[in-house]
Amino acid sequence: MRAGIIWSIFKKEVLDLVRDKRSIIGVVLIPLIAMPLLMGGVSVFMASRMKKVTQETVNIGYLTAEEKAHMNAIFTEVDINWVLIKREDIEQFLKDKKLHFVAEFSTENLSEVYTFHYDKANTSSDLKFRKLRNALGDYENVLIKEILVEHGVPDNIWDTVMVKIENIASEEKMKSMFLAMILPYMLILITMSGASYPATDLSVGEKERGTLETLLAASILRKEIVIGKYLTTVLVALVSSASSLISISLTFRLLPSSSQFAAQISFQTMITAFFAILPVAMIFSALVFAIASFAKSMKEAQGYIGPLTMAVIFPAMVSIFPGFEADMSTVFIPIVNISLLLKNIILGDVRGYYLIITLLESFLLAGFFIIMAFRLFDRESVIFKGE
Amino acid sequence: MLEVKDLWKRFKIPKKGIVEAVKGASFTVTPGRIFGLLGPNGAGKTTTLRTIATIFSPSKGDILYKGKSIFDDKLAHRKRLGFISGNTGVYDRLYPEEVAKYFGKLNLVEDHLIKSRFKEIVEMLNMGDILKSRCGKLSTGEKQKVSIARMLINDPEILILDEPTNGLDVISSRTIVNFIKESKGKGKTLVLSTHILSEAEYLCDDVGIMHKGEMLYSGDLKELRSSYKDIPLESVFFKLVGEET
Repeated sequence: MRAGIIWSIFKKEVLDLVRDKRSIIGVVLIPLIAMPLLMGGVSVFMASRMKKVTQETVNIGYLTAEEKAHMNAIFTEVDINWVLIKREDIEQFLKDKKLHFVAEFSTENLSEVYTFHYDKANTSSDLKFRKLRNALGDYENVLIKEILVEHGVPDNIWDTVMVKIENIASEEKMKSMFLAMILPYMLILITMSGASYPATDLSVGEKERGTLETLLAASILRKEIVIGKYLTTVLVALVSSASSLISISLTFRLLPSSSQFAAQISFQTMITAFFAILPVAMIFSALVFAIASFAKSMKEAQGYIGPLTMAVIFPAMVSIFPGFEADMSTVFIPIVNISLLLKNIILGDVRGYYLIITLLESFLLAGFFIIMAFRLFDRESVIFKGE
Repeated sequence: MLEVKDLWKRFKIPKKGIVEAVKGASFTVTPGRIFGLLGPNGAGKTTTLRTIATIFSPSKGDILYKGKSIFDDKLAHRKRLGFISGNTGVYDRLYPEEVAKYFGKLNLVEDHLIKSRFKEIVEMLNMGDILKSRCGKLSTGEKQKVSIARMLINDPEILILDEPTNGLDVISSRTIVNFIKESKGKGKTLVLSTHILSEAEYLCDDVGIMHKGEMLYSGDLKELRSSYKDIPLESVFFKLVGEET
């Protein structure tokens, strides 16, 4: 193979793609603009909704003035609008969303019983109920301590078993948790979709446009064509993942520090994560290129790539699922190992052996798919499939 | 001289099994003469031309150029070859000069030669007014001119033209026909396939008539016609096909 020829093919393909609006939008603009808008928007919107829901007035229906007076003394910290209703109207008031709850108070033997009627499927009511439940819990504690003192029992008996948590994770690490879960999954999928468009356009797209035949008649090896196009695909996939990495990191960095999603990734972590995504770009570019070469049309290629994306989603999602660790049980599983490696890079907890085995395995896998692409590109029945 | 000797080409097609696209075709193409490969769609013309271009490898037989098998050194053969078909596409997002330069680079033509040859080709094909447009904006005829420019940039000795006027209007067809005649004058080895028999009659010195993968006749066009008492080529074709099927 001749480096000069590969370079000429690579340069031409890059120029061709740079002039293609669809690839610029899909590879650079969407990751750079849409992702932060989506993630930042969702995060800010969720936080503001949560704040609104938990701070707004709670509408509670009651049946008698005595019950209301008793409960009002307990829920002093909650902003409540009390509404007197009849028992037979409870369901209707709740269905019409005129009330969040209807609360009842009674006694049974020595116990105080508080009954709450509400729609548990309504997340807003459920969030408000937590506030009421906490107030009741505090009230219960005070009551029990009073009874204990009354009976001459020291009130610290209440603390017979105490649980203390010493969190060794830094505040920064705790803040990175959410990002460490979500970013690997997103980066893997974005890299794959970043590779899909150029890989199909440069292989089966060239067949469809009728330009492949002349390329095959030029004084070049088919392997040179494959490598030139493959390198272009890897570059595009990397640009796509780098755009996403930068935009997602910036989004998380720019979120208000009060947000539970706010996290800061250092420049060094970003560079390490980018290098860890390189094998993903290499594997997917080779795999999608091989698959697309086999197809006779762009439509057929998309039909093959769709299920492949679905197959990648689950292993990429292990960074989100609990119970998956970067250890010997996961290091040999493709995609799973990259997802967990990326997670650990963001958390600043990378193990050397995991990094080396994951990279080596990924390079081997990419090599295998490139050889597959070489073979497919060499087969006349594949290249001129459908004629 | 290009010699096609007992060329067979079989394809394994899923659900259809083995399909014989070319069955023992033999013919000779002499420099400075135009060889026309004639036949209906599916006759095996394109497969034969693609094999001459080494895009396909023969299942049996050989193709010799200047006495040597072209398959011994495919890259060297392709370097002296120009290939074009009626369905050839051009890169829509590139300018004509970029397309020509790209293929010049792939064929290891030196930069100064690419530049000077492209200038000559632009003049020859009267392409000056399309140089500032990307290929995607060009008409079918203009795209075919770009294809010719791409093909000529490495100054090929052998020109393989697979239905080059397919889908072109009269004016564009005339440009291509004139180019073919000019190339003949320059002593190029020319193989042309067409299903338009009047075009073949006008252009070709030698013909090969193919039908269902078989070569029914190959040789001098004038001799063929005189042996059939100078009736039109179309009638000769039907007589040959009728005799064989």
